Amino acid sequence: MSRTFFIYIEEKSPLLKLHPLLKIISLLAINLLAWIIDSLTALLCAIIAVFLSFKFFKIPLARIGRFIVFAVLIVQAVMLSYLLGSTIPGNIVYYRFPWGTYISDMTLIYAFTMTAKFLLMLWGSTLLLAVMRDIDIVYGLVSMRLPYYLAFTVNLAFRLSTVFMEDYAKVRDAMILRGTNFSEKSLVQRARNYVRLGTPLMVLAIRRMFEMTNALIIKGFEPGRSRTYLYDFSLTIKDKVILLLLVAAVVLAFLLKTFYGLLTFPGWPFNG
Amino acid sequence: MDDVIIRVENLWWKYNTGREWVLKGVDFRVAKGEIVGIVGPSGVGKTTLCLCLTGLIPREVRGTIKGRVLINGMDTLTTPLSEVIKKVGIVFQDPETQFVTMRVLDEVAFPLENFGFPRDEILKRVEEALRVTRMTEYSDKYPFELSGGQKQRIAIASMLARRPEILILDEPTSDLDPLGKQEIFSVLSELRRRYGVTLIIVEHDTEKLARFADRILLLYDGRIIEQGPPREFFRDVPFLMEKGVYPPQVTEVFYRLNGLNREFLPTTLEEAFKILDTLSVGDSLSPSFPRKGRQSGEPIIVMEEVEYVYPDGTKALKGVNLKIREGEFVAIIGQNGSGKTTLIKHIVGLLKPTKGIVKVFGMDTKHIDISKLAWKIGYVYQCPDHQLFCTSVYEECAYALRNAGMSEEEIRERVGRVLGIVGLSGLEDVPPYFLSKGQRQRLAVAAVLAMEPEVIVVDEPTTGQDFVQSKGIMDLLKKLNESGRTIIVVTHNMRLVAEYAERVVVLKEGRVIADGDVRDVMGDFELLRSTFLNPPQVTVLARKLVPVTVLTVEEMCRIIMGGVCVGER
Repeated sequence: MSRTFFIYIEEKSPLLKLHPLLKIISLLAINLLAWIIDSLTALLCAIIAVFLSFKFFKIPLARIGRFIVFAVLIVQAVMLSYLLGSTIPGNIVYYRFPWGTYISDMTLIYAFTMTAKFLLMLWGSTLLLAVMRDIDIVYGLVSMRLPYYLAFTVNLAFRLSTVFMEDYAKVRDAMILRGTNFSEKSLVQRARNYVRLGTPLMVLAIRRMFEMTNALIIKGFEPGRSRTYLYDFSLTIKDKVILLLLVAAVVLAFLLKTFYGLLTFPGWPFNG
Repeated sequence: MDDVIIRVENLWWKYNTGREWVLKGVDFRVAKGEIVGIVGPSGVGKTTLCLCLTGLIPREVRGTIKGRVLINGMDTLTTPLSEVIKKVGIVFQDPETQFVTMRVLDEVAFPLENFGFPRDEILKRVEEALRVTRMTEYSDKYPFELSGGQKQRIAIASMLARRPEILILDEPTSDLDPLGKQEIFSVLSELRRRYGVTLIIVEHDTEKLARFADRILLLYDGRIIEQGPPREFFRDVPFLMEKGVYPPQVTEVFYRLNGLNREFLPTTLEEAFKILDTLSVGDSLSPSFPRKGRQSGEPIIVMEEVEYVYPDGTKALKGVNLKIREGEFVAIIGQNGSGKTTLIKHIVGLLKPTKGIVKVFGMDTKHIDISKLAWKIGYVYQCPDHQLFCTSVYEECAYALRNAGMSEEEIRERVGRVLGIVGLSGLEDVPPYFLSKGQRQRLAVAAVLAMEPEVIVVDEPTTGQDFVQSKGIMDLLKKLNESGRTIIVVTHNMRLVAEYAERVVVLKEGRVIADGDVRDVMGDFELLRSTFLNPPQVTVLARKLVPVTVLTVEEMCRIIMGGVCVGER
């Protein structure tokens, strides 16, 4: 098993072995595609493809249970915001709210489309972040010609978030061992418990920041200093082909939408 | 002194956040290739001094400085930090805060990459550093999820690979198993022999310093108040003890004996053996010491064929069978990564076995609410900072009691009592993060004690503590044990295990390989060595004279002089 930022992944997962640059470009490409494509059918196809990729690339869905909960919450929020707060004209109006907004047949399609966009972004990013390691961020960004110290700093942001999550788990356990019930029925009490959890986390985070800064200095990390690299991540022909396909997919989606009216939302632009 | 590489001249330092001077005129020199040990009780400025030697003080830490530090002729005040750190490496006290990558191999290679070593050289040095620290098989692991001792090995390996001219180690081996400690010190000596590296080692383990250091400095209240080669340094035993420094056990034994020439106090086992050879002692003695373990009491913790596998596939426990009886004082020992912490996390319910059963007070932990179990079994973490989350010492102890809905009057009474027991009375309003590490550790114990659990489980209570503080915590646990509580301690400090524990459970690679009376386990040298542990010095020393297992300095004195000792503690 290999440890990525957030979970353990089987060593033989093909996605884990992907070139760091390709991991970052794939992440960008999926998000760009989700942003460009407005066709619900195309988006649903893409979501299904991403979903199947989890299985194909051996990413254990059970280990990202918390992300799934998060994704469901986002979907609910997007849906609700369109249903309760939009004025999208359509052929049939199902319901008018006292505050002036309404739900039409197009509102439903539009809400589903936007939800699908968010889902594609979330699932696509989850798929790729699940296989992302520190060296992927660093080497990926360096091969995009970003200075090493900037690439390393971006990686540190991810690292600190995982360290924070580990500290969170430890402090939470300690609180449970002192009789705290985090599944408390009272929301106020539950909120109070989480606020209390924040105090040691903040202190630990500040302390870690100072100590990590010192450790980096002592280990010779310095902006502008030339360095050598342990790994040699040069792009193979296969990598170059994948890179080309990713770029082509984004460009193609953009051209199809802009010049041929494909992949667009039916009835766009609305003329209300 | 020839070839001085470190020169500290009348160094004063005060943090911006504090009112007092931490260093108050420190003066010393270190010759190239010398191994210098620094000892002193916790909180006297040892870490601050280390930071001054790296140049991080005053460059990265805010405060007021007087005097100067010269590293290889470079004044740390005027020379850019990047130049100073080319010469100096440091291993900090807490290994976890030094990790900046996600893989052991990358962590060790990171400084070498930054200093521009060619790839082949990096690989060669990384391989060597991992080999000498016994971490080769962990090179692909995620460093944050290794055991405490393994983390320390990685932090040390990372600096060993760099081979700086000066290497500073701030309590680098506090979490290591005894033989692991010895190995690291041997590696450091080899580093000096082969590459002429100068070593500054802050360490509470005086037995190791006596063996490996050329010179030892005593830092006390911000000043160097004593220094010299080990044999000279440890000559004034009462003075050192008064300052909170415990000399090696063999030194203490011979100091306590009447009629022996104290000018030649031994500091290592070899020296003590030589002195014993010249004495005719023990001929008339046939000493016997009582077994300490008790067999009475009901089993309250029962583990049957327990296995546990971590998410990365590491099998940490492999069929553990264990019964702990009410009122026992049990020490769980074993080499780094042998599964000690995993085992006790099963006892407190934080981990559920992958296979097998853990029953506590007759209940299967798989079906227990941990927050309720905590009232029966209290758990003190290895790092107190993960366990303290309230705004004051008082609130910290009152927290669980409030959760249980106790009256304020009852809470006040209980908190007052437990703070008295751990010696923190009068500090009720102080925020926990303003306490020293030793005080924080005791507060963590107090917060658990306030719940009045029947069993107290303590993970490595002596890490980063000086010997006086360590003994203070163990005395406290002993007192609680005498009042009827069951105590389970995980520690590498064999001297304290021998002095305090009744029963010892030895773990090796996730299996219990020995379980019995402390005297039986400590007497089995082969068994201990097989799991990278060492018996205390007095146990080894006594075996040369009599075929019994001696556990303490007092017992050793009785063996040699028929009980005639001086300076009883």
